[in-house]
Amino acid sequence: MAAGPYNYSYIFKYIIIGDMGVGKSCLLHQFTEKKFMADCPHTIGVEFGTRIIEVAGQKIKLQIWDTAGQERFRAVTRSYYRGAAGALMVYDITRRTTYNHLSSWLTDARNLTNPNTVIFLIGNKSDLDAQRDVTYDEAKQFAEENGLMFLECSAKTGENVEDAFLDTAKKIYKNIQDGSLDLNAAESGVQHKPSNGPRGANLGGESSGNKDPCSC
Amino acid sequence: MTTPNGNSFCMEEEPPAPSETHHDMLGFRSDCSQYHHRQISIKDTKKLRKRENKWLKMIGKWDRTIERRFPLIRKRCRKGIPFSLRARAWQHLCKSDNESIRIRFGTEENFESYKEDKDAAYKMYNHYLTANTNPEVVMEIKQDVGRQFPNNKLFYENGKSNLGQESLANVLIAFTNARPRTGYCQGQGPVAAFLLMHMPEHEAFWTLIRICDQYICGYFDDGLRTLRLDAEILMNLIKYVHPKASKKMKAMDVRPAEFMIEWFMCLFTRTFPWPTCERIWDMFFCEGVKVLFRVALVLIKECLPNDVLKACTNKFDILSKLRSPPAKVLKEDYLIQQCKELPVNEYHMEKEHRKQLRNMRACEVISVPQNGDTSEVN
Repeated sequence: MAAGPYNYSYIFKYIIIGDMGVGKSCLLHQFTEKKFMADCPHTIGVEFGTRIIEVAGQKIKLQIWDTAGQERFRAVTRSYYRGAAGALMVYDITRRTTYNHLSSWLTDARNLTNPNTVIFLIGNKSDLDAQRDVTYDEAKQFAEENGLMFLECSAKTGENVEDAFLDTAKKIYKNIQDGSLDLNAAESGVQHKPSNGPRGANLGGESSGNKDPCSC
Repeated sequence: MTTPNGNSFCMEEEPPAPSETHHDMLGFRSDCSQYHHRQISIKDTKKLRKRENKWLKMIGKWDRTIERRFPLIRKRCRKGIPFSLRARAWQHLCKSDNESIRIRFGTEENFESYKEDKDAAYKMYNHYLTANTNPEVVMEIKQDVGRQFPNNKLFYENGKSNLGQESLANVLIAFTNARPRTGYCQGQGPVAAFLLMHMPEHEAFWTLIRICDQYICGYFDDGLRTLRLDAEILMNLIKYVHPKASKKMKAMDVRPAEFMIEWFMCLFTRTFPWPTCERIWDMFFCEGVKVLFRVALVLIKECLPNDVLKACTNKFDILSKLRSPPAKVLKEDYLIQQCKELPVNEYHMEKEHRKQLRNMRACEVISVPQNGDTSEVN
């Protein structure tokens, strides 16, 4: 809590979306706490998590919004999409219906975020391979057809969870570097913070000491 | 530390043995954050007995008391209903007791035969429970009950699921059959579970029905329209209580839906320790939904004192603060006192309600051609 607000150079906003019971909150918990929460209560409304990661020597704070999966919450969860730099779209590899609903989640993600938002498809519960209901190959194909990044993960064992969150950040960072993501655009989902750390390299020419730089 | 003789109120508990798992009087495991061990002194026990007597008398002639002496009931609800009578009092307050059910529902065509039946409430519950239910909904419900209050003995014991899970599934299934238009919403789970910690299955069912019909009508409906309306009302009431927070939250584009849904939908069962939650429910059953607003406003005020507010540099900071209330506001006596002192009255609430309802209707008229949903606009 006392860690100064300027110990990182960027803030990226993520959202996690997908059907109820696919393991969104468990993925978040695994990523932020490195633990599997077996009795994870269902999310009502929205939950949050943060973690500071490092990409190419830059410290980045991830602000992760974990949404309720039940259909009727969509009327309110839609407002959380605004200004997300990354969207993790999750299905459960043991339940085909959660995979079948992906197109509707993708439509929401596309319509409610900006064109540069990185969308990462996660097939969760990869530890339950024996009960698999969706093959890796077809999900991979779906991801390729829609230009999504894709991994199968397990919130239980932790397999690939780290990679999914980090790869998303790397892609966002790359988009910043090559200029395709405009930091000054409203709702880019990225905030650039002046850094007092040893690496205090201010990439963009933003003025430092901005108060209220909230763009999310 | 002395045990009062003949204590029938189950308020007194032995301190937990260090090695084995112990549960508090509501069934919460000693190693979880909701656990609440309560030691009652003799003086408190005497006070409690007096209070129980008052409540017993009141319940004995309930109809007359509620009709003629409502302020007295309100005052006593604010002071807290004694634990031993709480479930009964809640049911009387919301009219989910057998007598009311028989009168209210016994005249409906399906239930004519139950009109004179003493067990009407129980039988009608069974009728709903055994009705045909959409198997997909049953699956959704069953998937969720396993994640409800896993630290409570009613639902989990020694790492294994316990009887409460089945009761909870039953209550929720019966509810979707009784109120098919509302159907199953995940927010009902914690409310039903908390009721089950206090009363048997069919009573919990009827109380849930009354809560949804009479208190938070529409909160669980598809589209969450009423909840969204109340969210806007809450947002606009903040200015009366904590103008600085109101200003800053608006400036940082904090949306009420980002912090109040769980509070209101679960009636604070996931926010407060259970003794505080019970006190909130005591008032809620008596005074209705405005209690939720009061509690929410106190929470906002206490989570965002001026110095904290100043340190918040973005919306995420504010939301994080609102999710971790300081310890003192979680204590029942402090919270209730703050609720009483709040500079917001019914006039403010009603004024905001009218205003936000107008706004919402105006928005809906504009958006109707897009979604074609005219059923809610009237």
